[in-house]
Amino acid sequence: MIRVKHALAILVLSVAAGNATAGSGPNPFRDCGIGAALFPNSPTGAVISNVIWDAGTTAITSATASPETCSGSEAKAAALIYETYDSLVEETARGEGEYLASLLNILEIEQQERAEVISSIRQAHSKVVSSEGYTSLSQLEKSMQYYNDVMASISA
Amino acid sequence: MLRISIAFLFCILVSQHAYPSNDKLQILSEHPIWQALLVINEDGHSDINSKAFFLSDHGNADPLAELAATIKRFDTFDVESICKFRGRLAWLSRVYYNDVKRFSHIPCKQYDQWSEFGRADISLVFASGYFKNPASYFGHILVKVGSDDLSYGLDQASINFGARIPPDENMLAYIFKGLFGQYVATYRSIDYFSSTTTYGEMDLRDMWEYRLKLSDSDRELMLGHIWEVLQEEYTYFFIDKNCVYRIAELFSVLGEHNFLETAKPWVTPQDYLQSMVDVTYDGQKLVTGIHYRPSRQSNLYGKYNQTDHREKRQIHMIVDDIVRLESEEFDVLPLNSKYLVLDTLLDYYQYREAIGKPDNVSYQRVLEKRYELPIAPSVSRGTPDNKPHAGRKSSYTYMRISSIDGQHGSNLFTIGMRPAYYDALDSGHGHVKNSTLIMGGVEVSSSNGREFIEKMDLVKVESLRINSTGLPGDRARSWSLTVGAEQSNASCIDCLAFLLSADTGYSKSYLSGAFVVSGFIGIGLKDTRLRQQSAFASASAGVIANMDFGISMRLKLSYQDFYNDSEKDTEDKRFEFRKALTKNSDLRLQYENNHGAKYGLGFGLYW
Repeated sequence: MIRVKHALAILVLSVAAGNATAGSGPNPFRDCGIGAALFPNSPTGAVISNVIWDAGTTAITSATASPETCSGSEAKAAALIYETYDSLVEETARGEGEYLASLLNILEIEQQERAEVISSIRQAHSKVVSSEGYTSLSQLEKSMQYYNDVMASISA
Repeated sequence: MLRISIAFLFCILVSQHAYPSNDKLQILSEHPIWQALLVINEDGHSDINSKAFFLSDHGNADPLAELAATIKRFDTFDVESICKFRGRLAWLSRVYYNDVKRFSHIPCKQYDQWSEFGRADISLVFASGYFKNPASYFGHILVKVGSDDLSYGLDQASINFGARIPPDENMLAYIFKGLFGQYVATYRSIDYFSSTTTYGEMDLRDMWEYRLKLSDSDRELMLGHIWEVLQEEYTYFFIDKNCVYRIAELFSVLGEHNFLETAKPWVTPQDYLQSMVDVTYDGQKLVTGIHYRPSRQSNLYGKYNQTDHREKRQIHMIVDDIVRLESEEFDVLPLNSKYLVLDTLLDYYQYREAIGKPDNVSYQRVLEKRYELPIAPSVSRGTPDNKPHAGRKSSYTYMRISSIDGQHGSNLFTIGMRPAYYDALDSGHGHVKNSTLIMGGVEVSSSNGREFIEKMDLVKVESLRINSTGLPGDRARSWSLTVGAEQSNASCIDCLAFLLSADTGYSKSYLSGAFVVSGFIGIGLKDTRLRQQSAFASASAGVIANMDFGISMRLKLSYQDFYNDSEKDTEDKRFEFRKALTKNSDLRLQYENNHGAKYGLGFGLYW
């Protein structure tokens, strides 16, 4: 039962993630497929995709995913966010850091735009960090929120 | 039989067709770089087990056949081969085709991306030893592929060589299979940010990056070779053909440079680093820079040590009661103090997460507070001076003259050897300070014309935690494990007893680590034969002093209470003094007293 609840929560968040980034391209957390294909260089990729599999989004996946969606810079950014979330969220609070620089490199954000993008991510994600249910969110859920904040900041 | 003969004849005909009678091919196939590209070992066979790595049926043992098959594929501009065998292509473009641009019009998207079009920087990365996994006690070496510009972040690839080990493998099977080549191993390329998270955040291991300066053509050759051996299957050997050996082997395609000069039958990461740092390449040092990447634990200690009394007090009070984060006492701190306190706390809670004692609620409160303050960088930790390559050599051989007081009253001449790595008195660069890590150590003595084994350390690990903050979950818990044999008491020369003991205790350092005091309790077995009376319980206390001028010393007092045999109960007093004579030699004075006393003077060389 817990597994079903968890799966439903992920599914809801997946859909929410898709809505939040409407117009900013496919979302690897929502759209990418099962197994290591999502993050071929990342063992944790399997974890992410297994959770997505559990959430029953396979149908959505097969309908929307393309190889480019799951191997491009967005997918790599998603992998970085998922694997390094704790470091990333702390660096975002500080406004600088190696993981944050890596993320912006992957997403090809120009140097002169970075301060503004970081400030925007920081502002958006501070609301997530200070939300009441933050500690009960899983690594995947936090990562999805962060990913959405990044994409919204870039497209703003 | 007839079918076999026909098949054999066919092979010869095919082979003769495939091998153009060409002296140039013959010479090239015997070239050390071609042999290195095929990973040909001293027996003339390739160490790569994957059939897919060879384009000729006999390529794993016939470099000429493999060369001919490779050229044949390249001549037809076979995209699959061109994009896979990038090392072969780089070398043959130079020495066979004499045209480095010959294949440049063929795009290989994945390789080009991974190698930054053959121009990515190459660094060696050392991850410090990890006491939770025996295979990682001695540290680990990997290669980083990608820009060495620090502002670039961590979006590079890291190349790791490791065995494929089933998730639930038990320790004995792990050791046996590792020693006797029962594991398949491969090189894997994973995102560097993934490696820094695994080593630095989860395993709490410091990382040292050694930037290498290679010529453009050598860099392209090496990147190509790394690419072509990724995911190919090797046999893993824990002692010799291990991760260090294989990482060193990647450099062998660079030809005349010898990147692993060692006469030892074993290879350790630190030996390799020392060897690489000494290499001169094209008239300059191969290593052009070192970057230190502290683990979360080191970051915690680095920041904690920078706090003043008031800030420390705040940290301890907030950890005791997270609500104090909203207190006036915290609120009136200068902004820089707030940053330091909060960043130290973030490291502390992440450290707790890594050791399996998370406090997510407190972590969130601290993180939230950090978001409330204006943007500001974290206090950075400087590079410590104990760089892993800079210390002494890892292996140690020594001679000692001892005199025994007591019933046998005689003199001993002892020769000892430990293959690697350190003890409490000589731990230093890249080691866990004040701790002990010995595997396979042995002492042989001679007395009155008789030779005997005085001591054997199959495994001796003593982990003394001294850097702790004293915060909950970070107290100075220490432990030790010994498996080996030693004389039953100091005055005996023919009573070698096996020894198995495990201890747990606490340590504390004083005067910035000049003195380390520790206390242990433990249990064990010690006897010349296994019986009930072999079991003992023990208690011990000790102090280690680290002085200037390369002087260190240790006093240890212990008591062993044997089960049902009070005659064996032992009071053991040991004192050892060490003076480093040079970087790679030392002098030691020893005193040991249990059922008799023994005094010794020894001289040791590191190699």
